[in-house]
Amino acid sequence: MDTKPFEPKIVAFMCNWCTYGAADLAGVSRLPYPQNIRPIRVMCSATISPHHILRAFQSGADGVFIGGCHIGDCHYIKGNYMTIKRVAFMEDLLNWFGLEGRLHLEWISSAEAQKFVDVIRRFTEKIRALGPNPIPALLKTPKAIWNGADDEGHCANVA
Amino acid sequence: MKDIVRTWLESGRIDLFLGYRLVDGHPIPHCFSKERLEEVEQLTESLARYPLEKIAHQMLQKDPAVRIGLMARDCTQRSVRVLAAWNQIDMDRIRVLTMSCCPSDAKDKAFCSYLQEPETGPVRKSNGMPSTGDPDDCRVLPAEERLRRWLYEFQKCIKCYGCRDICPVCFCKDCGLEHEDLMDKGVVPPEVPLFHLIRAVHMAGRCVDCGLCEEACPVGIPLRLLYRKVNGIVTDRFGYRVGQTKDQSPFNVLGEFSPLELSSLDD
Ligand code: SF4
Ligand code: SF4
Ligand code: SF4
Ligand code: FES
Repeated sequence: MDTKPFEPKIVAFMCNWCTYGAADLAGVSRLPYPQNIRPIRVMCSATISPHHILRAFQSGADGVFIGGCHIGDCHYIKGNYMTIKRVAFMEDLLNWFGLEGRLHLEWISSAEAQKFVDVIRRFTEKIRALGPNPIPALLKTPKAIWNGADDEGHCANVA
Repeated sequence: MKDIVRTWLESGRIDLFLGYRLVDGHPIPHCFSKERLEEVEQLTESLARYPLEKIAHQMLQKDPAVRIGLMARDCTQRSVRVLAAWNQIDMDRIRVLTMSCCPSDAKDKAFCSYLQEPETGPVRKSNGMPSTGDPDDCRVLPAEERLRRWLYEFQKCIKCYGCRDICPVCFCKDCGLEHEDLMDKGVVPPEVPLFHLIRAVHMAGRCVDCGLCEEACPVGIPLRLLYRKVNGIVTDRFGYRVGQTKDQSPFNVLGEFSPLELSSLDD
């Protein structure tokens, strides 16, 4: 039996020009923040497609965080316009699908080390309260998989 | 209808006509031509549905100069518009001949295989997604239950790619569903929900709600419900309705502004 307390795994995509800088600044300023994030540096928050978000959840991430430049400050002018459209869409889709509150986007400039720390802390606590990503467990339980054919004679893939 | 097609072919307004031909009592998709005008006698309206516009798209890829006539349902007309918006077909090369499909008091016939009620039994009722037609009906179920039911549906998938192959608006040369970096190629069953949600993202602002994917799916996954939802999000968030304009969906193109607010961590 696994008795370790639940430690959320959060994949954090961070824009090189802002949030990653803020994380760096938080580090050199010795501001403590939860070690639950797995940082991935990207050149612009707009390089994060819904594919990356879905891939992270499929691989068992408990939360996905995206940090980008404030609107108007994107290094590539309007990259973050795309980011917010995608995230807004993905939030709606995931909420409806049954994976609620596990995706978060925030604009954090490279000077906002304190904001970065606060956001990461709050998001980690939110995910901690939500508990682990339910997908891996659901895929293992016989409740989601069933044997034999259903009413229409369709057979299941029992891996 | 036969007369119109004959006239179009004879006068050279079109080179080819895609429709259904009655062969031994079965309506099958067929390409009618000027050279074999006598076949037009067997042209038929039918319940059968094939993505004729997808065939037209493929023909135009081979020969951009050909002019194609198309027997078109309502959904066909929407996907022709979508294909044109994404620069996949040249509208000048396509001429549609409307056929009676979705029912209305204003007409006496409705030809569409999708109008038949789907049947469900007890297993599907307790484990599957309620296929009511409105994707938001499932909101009455708690989130965990929705997730469980969708995973039940997706786990039936045999990764036949039928949904993609039949879809009139799936035209990508390199399909993301076969991208090695995203998921393992040649491995069945697919990773779920990844496989289906990726396709759902692609269908946002693009799916014309023809229902061919769901009809083609050998394991009865309520795909149409899923794509209705993603289109609903695009309509709610960006005010875009698929197949009703000449523009591409603002979800897929940068555009000039982004009016959305960030959602707060407290929600
Ligand atoms: S209903 Fe299915 S087949 Fe038709 S356009 Fe939408 S995704 Fe494609
Ligand atoms: S599933 Fe997606 S990537 Fe594949 S053909 Fe359709 S739209 Fe293109
Ligand atoms: S048609 Fe159905 S079984 Fe085939 S790949 Fe699509 S969802 Fe899976
Ligand atoms: S460069 Fe930071 S969001 Fe585009």
